[in-house]
Formats: sequence, C-alpha cells, structure tokens
Amino acid sequence: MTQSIALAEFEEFAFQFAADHLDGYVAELRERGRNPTRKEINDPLWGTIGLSGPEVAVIDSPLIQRLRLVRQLGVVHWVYPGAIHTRFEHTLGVLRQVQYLATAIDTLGSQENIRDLIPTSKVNLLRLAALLHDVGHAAFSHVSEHAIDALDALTSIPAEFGQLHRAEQRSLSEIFAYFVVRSPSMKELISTLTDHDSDYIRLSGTRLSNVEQIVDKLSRAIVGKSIDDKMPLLHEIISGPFDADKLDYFVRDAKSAGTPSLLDISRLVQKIALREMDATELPGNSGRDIQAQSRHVIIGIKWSGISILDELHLSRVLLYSKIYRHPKVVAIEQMIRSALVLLATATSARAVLRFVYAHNDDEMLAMSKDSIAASLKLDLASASGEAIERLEKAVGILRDLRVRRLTVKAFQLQRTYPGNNQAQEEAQKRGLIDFREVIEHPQDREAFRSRLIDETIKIIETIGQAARSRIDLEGAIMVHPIGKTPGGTQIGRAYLITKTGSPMEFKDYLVNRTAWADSYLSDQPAGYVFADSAIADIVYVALERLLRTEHGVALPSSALEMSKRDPEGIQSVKTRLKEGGYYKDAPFDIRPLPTRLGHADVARAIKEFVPTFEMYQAPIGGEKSADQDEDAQTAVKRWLRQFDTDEDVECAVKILGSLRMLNRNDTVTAVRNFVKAHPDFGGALVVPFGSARDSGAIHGYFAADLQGTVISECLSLDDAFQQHGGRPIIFLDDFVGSGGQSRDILAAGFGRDDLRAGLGEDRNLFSNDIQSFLRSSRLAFVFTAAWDDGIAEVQAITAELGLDAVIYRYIDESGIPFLSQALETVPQAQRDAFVARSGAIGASLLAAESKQKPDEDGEQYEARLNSRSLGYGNRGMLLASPFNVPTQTYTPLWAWGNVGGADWGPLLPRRKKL
Amino acid sequence: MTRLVTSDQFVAGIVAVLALKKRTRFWLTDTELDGRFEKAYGDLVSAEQSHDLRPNFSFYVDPYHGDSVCLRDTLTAAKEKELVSFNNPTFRTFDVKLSPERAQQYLKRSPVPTELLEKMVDDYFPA
Repeated sequence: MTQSIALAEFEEFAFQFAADHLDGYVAELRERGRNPTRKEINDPLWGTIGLSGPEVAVIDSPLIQRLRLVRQLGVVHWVYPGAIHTRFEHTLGVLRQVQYLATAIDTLGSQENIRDLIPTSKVNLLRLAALLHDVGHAAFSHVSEHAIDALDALTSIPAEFGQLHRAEQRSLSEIFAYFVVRSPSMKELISTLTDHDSDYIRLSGTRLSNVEQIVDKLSRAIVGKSIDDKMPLLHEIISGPFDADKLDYFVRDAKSAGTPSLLDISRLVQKIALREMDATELPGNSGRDIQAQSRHVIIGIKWSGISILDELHLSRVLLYSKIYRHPKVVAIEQMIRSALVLLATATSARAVLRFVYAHNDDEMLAMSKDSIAASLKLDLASASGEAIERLEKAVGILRDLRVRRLTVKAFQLQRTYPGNNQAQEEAQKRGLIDFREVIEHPQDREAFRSRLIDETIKIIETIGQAARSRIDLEGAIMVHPIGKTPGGTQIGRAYLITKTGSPMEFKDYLVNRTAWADSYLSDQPAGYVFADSAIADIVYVALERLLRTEHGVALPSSALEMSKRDPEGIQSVKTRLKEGGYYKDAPFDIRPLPTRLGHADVARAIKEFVPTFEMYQAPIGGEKSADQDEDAQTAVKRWLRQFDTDEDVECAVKILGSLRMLNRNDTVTAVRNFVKAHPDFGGALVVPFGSARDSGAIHGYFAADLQGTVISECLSLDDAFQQHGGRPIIFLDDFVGSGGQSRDILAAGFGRDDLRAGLGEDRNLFSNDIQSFLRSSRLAFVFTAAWDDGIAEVQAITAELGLDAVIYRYIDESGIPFLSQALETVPQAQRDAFVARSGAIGASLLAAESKQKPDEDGEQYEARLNSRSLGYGNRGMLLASPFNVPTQTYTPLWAWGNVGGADWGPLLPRRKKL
Repeated sequence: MTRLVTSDQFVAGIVAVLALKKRTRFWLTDTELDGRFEKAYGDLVSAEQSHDLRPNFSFYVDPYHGDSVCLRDTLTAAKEKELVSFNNPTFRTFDVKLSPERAQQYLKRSPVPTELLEKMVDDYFPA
C-alpha cells in the first residue's frame, strides 16, 4: 500500500532542497562581505531589466540559476520549436512587470495625494517575491508537477495545505516555493543580503524580526495572502487578477510559440485605478485578514478598462486552446507522466519527488538506466524483475522523447460528437458524462486504465500480434482527462473602480465573463487516450468496447475522425477479432460492419424500405421503447447489422423488401368487398372484434369511412346491442393467424370455458342479453388478412356456439408474404443457414418474454420456443400493421431480448399485451 | 483503500440533494454560495476519518474576495456536465438541472454518504 507523504514531510523536503541550493552559496556570499554590484540584463521582450545588488545575489544563487534549465512550458517546444524559454527568463520578466505595476500604482497615488503608497522597501519586497515565485518548479515545470501530484501518495498535499491555512487550493509547486521561502536557508540568505545592505528591505527595526517579516510576506504573496494592511490587495501584484506573472507569461508564451497575443499591457497599466477608503468602506470580504488602518487603498481597473479585462480572459482561453492543450503537447506531457509513474511504481513516490527536483529537463532526458537507478537509489542487483522492467520502460520513453518518437492519440473524448443523432440521445450523452467522471477521478481513472490494458491484451492475443508485457503496456497506454481551465475566476476578481460608488468586482459586472469565456472551451476535447502507434488502433477498439459495455456509449463514426484513427485500419482489426470470436457476446453495434451493408444495392433497398418503416408507429414510453430521435435509415441499418454476416444481412434485406404493411385502404376495401359479396349486410353495424385495447378498435374507426354508404355506423358491442334495430353485425379485425385468439374471445364471451384456446388471457363474459342478441343476429367476421387455419378456426367456434355467421377475409395467404417467398432467390445453403440462424435468434428473443412454465421441463420449454421462433406458427410471416405487429410475424422484427449475450433491438417493436 | 473525494464529486453530491429538495436557483454574483460550500467542506474535512474519505481539494474562500476559485471552476465543470445551467444572457444565475432519477444516481455513486450530504444541505442550504 502507498504510504502518503504528509505536508510536514513535504516541508522538510523543501527545507532540505533550499539548503542544498543555498547554504554553500550563502556562506560564500557572507564571506565575501558584500552584495554584488547592480546589473542590467537584456530581455528579448521587455528590453533592459535593471537588478539591484541584492537581486543580483539572489539570481546568482543555484536556487535561481537552476531555473535556466527548466523550460517554462515543459514540453511545448516539441510542438512549437520556439517555445524554449525558461523559468529564469520568465522570472526576470515578472520582476520587470512588478516594477511596472508598482511604479504605475505609486505614481497614481502621488497624483491622488496618497504619498509614498508603495515605499522602496515594499517595491523591493515585491521584486524579490517575483524572483522567488517560481522556485518551486521541478523539471519540465508543470508537466512533472502534474505527474507527481496525481500520485496517490502526494495527492492530498494541496488539500492539507489548504486545511492547515484555511486557504484556497494552491498548486504543489506554489506550496513547495512557500516552504523554500520560509526555510532556514532562505532566512540566512535574506539575513546576509540585508546585513550587506541595510536599506534593501526594511520592514522592522530589529535584524531578526526584519528577516522573519520579509520571509513571511514573501511566502504569503506567493500563495495569494495579504502582505499589507494599508493596501490589502498589494499581494495581487504577485498573484492576483492582473498580476505580474500573467503580464509576463501571457505575452512570453504566446510570442515564443509564435501565436498571437491579445494583451495590451501598457493600456492595462494606464487603466489601473485606486480608491482610498475607510476600513468600514472596504468592499465585500476585502477587510478580512488585515488590521484596520485609518485609510485603506484598493487597487483596481477603471470602468473604461473593462475591455482590457476581456482581453485577459481571451488571452487565457487562446493560450489554453492553442498551446497548453494542443493535443500533441498533451500527448508528450503524458509520456513524461508515464515515465515518472513507472519509476514511482518501481521505487516510491518519495523517490520520484526527489528525482524531479534533483534534475533539470535535459539532464533527465539524457539519463540512462544506471544513472536513473542511482538517482532513485534503486539497487539494480537486488531489485525485482518487475522494478527493472519498469525502469527500462521509463528509460525507453525518455529515449523516444529525445528522438521525438512520440505517442499518438488513440482516442479523443468529446462532450458530444458531431454528425450523429445519438449526440442528442439522452443515454448517449449521460454515458459520455459518466465516462468523463470516471477518468477525472484519479483512483477510478487508474482502475479504468487497468481494465483498458486487460482488454488490449485480450485483443493482441486474439489477433495474434506479438505479445507485449503488462508493464510495457502500462507505460504505453495513457488516459488523460482535460480538466478545468484555471485562471478565469481570478481575473473575475479585479475591482472595477468608479469616481463615485463602491468598487465592484468584474465578475459582478453585467455579464459573468468568466463563465462566458470558459464556455468557449466547452467544445474542446474532454480527454484523450494515448498509446504508441503500434497499438493505437487496438486501444481504440478496446476502449470502444469498454465505453459501450460500461457506459452504454456507442461511438459514432466521427469519433474515429476526431481520434485520427483510420477507418480501414480499425475495420481490419475488428474483422480479425471477429474471426477470433472476440465479438461473440459483444453488442452488435461495435462489431465490424458487414461489408454488404455498404453496398449500393443494399443502400437502395434500405432507402426503398424507409416509407414502409415510417408508417409504423412504435410504442412510446415504458422500459422498452423505440428511439424516437433515430432517423429511419440509421434505424434500419442498426437492425440489419445485427445479422452480423454478409450472407445473413443479404437475406434480412430481402425480408424488408417483402414486408407488407396493412393500411387504412386495406381495411376499408375488406369491408366494402365483403358487403359487395354479401349484399344482405348492406347497412350493417360494424363492431371492432375484441376489446378496446386491441387493434380491431382502430380498424373499426377506419371502417367508419364507409358510414352511410356501405355500412350504417361503427359501434361498441354494448351500443350495437342497444341500437341495432335488427341490422346485421360485422365484427372487424385486421388479422387472424391460427384463430386461437378469436376462439378464445368468443368462447369466453359465451361462458364456454370448455371451448377456450387456453391462452391464459383475461376475457370478458358477455351479458345474457348480449349473448341472446348475438345468437339471434345475422353476424359476419371480416378480417383484413387471415390465414387459412384462422378462417377455419373462426368457422368452427361460431358453429360450436350456434352462431349464424359468415367468415370473410380480404387478403388470403397468397397475399401475405412469408419468409420462404422472400428468400426464394437466395441459394439454398444460404437460405437454410439464415432460417436456422433466424430460428436461433427468435428462440433467444422469445425466452426473454416467455418463461418456462411450471408444468414443462427444459426440453419441452425449448421445444415450445423453437415451435414459434420464426413467429407464432413458425411460418416467418412478413406482415405488420401501422399500430402493432402480429406475433405470427418474423420474431426478430418485433421482439426485444438478448442474443448470444448481446442486446437485440427490433425494427418494429411490438407492444406487449398485458 | 481510503476513497478520494474530488471537488466534482462533492459538488455533484450537494447539487443532487438540492435537486431532490427542489432548491434549484442560485446567484453567482455574490459570495454567499461560496460561504455555504466552505462550511459544507469544513464538515467534509471533519468527517474524513469517520467515513474513510480523503478530499483532494479545498473550498476555503479567498479572504479578500470571498469566493473560491476551486468552487467556481467546479461549478463551470458541473455546467458542462449538465448538472447545473448558467442562465442566459448574463450567466449570473444558475439552476440545478438534475432530474430526480439522475440525482439519485449521483448520490448512489458518491463516496460521501447521502446522510452526510443531506445534513450539509439542511445546515447550509436551507429552503
């Protein structure tokens, strides 16, 4: 188990680090007996930057000189070659901007008769804070910082620091700098500087107290705490809404990378405003944590400078989107992270913490297995095989970086994917959010990465690619969420100062610009999975399966595009996987697309079927409901691809071409033709056969189109009894198959349980009056379509019940399409295989609805399912009505269920009768 | 293993309870909300040992501005995940957007026990 590094240990490490970098130097400086002379240094951005003697002493220290070898942007120069500037240059730039801001504020104070607003000692204090604000950075700046702060042993340090100081969240490097500045070694340095130049910074009369106050204020400024009672926001020159840090790096990073910079610093400085006020007038919370003075001064921006603050937001957003979060930059950062995580696993987080502070960027890149082992104090002779393998993998990653053999994007996670209706689908969207939440949580992300590696190994084995060890893959596969974009809230804290009225924070201005600016980034990638190029396609396929099975996300084709994966490469991997049985229990939509689905004749057949499909009104709501947002062609393709093989897809397409959808005209024609053939039924009453829940009710409504010409009216059975006036009765229904249900309705209605079909459905008993009425009436049973068996069965039951009835159908079996006819042109072997597979699919689907009965054994149950697997009656009927699908229809068209471990989605989902 | 609690999880938990209690509209233009979350965070820190939790964030507010960068950034992230919506055109108010069903899912997954989150909401986000 990982042993956490407590804040106290981190502090102790920072003190030791400070001692290593200062003690010897301070001893020399003290021995020399004086500070160096002042210097001017030329900066490519800001020109000449003047440094006082004590400041020269500080930058000449090993603590600051090491920043010459730590690049400001870590790994960005592998993408933007010009971005090779270092923390050292930035440090000088911040000092220059501190001076610029302090001079402007002080001059403004003079103009407003606030004398000596920032005295020389405080200016020097702020300048010193600028020189020290980045001493907490390790090799590769934020890159290694973010790698180690995600290690479980270190992840709590920022929170612990916040809790101890009741302070806002600070980064690991800031906390490290805070401790370095408060270290005994730093006190010794400052003591030496002030001994050599007593006027340098004088905050207190006594030597010891002066040094204590200096380090206290320096460290406070670095972590955003107030350092001045009169000017409660003075520290914000170092860390605030428009601090010197931003004024340098916003411009320096953009210029070095060669991207545009929007920031007009001279304009910003012109727009700085001051407001002097009593303690009681201090806005909001700005009076907390300071001692009340006779007058306080708040620093802010004039209202006319709002556009400058907008520019700050825009600059921030552009820097993130163009440079800091460039996909290749992120990929390289993850390589460094991967190497460090491997080393931490081989040794300890503690060892890696020391490692990243012990070496600079290029030194680390050039290290060999032996030198890294020595630095980590890993004894190669006694180390485990796994530890050595991890070390070797880390060395390999660093070597790859040296020659710019970079990891590639295997997968790009979006908040939504363009060009796919599923982006609108709630379940899809939720699934993507769920996945983001998994990879944003350090522990969950690591657990997911482990599953991804398992899946990758499974794929490598299945397709017979050269095996790679788990440790190798641990180093090769990286999962990275794109987290929150920092900086916006801080800019929103800038005070807007008017001549009258209270200062207002920028975030309270008319529009919440922070949220607005962050919204710009909302369509940026939400995360990445990186891998070496040899396995990138495999990792995509592995991830696709995990996303689908764990989060219900079906990746659209645009995900391939955004992930820069070649569709043919992915299809090739999938085809080989399918041959290896990898997909046998996988969801159909992630399996390789059957080639036939892409052929022109199939595309045409799908297009021709769409009007028929669109006539169908699938059930809405409930656990099983059709996807209302899915377009017709997508829905049809989704159904077809479940047949998995080209041969079966071809047969399924023929099914679609043969499917007959009964319509209103069929029903009206059925009644009209019946009356024409039986004129004695002219002016009959039409009664829907069955109850109100049956589709007969809708067909009765259709028959009313003939009201007044062929029939008199359409009534319920009760109303027909009341109002018949001797008129004949036509019972109407759209379809009868075996006739079992018709038998059941009539036998139950007449109280003849002995004649019922035993379907187990609740049926109404007709009243005695209705029974008498029906026995004494001239009856007809008209079906829009019917099987021969169904007609015979209705004839039989009406005779058994002693009814005077004519039985009629409009569409007989010659007009009803069946599977056998649909597949007539298909070669026998292909047809047989398809029918067999259809039967297996149908049986699996029926098993979801029809459980084993108590009085049947497993064999009987299986036989029962098989006897209706192609639809009740097992004839594979291809008939539907716009409102429902008969159970006699080909089962895979209408049933939900599970086939071979994968969910099956019907094309024409059927509402189950309750 | 001690369960890490992220700021996203903590805010999602509070927002889920607020959704179930139908407390849905909040202002971003004052710091009252930050203060409430700070207090709730204090309770979370106090419950670390008893519930074997470890927050990896801090919701303490800045003493000079009264808001919390971490909270504000987390709310922006919550907006992207459709837990809350910032209201147009000014983005100065936000609404809790979670359906009861989704709120229950968040509570089920949260490492912070529901009863603890409910107590925080009762104490610091009263109706």
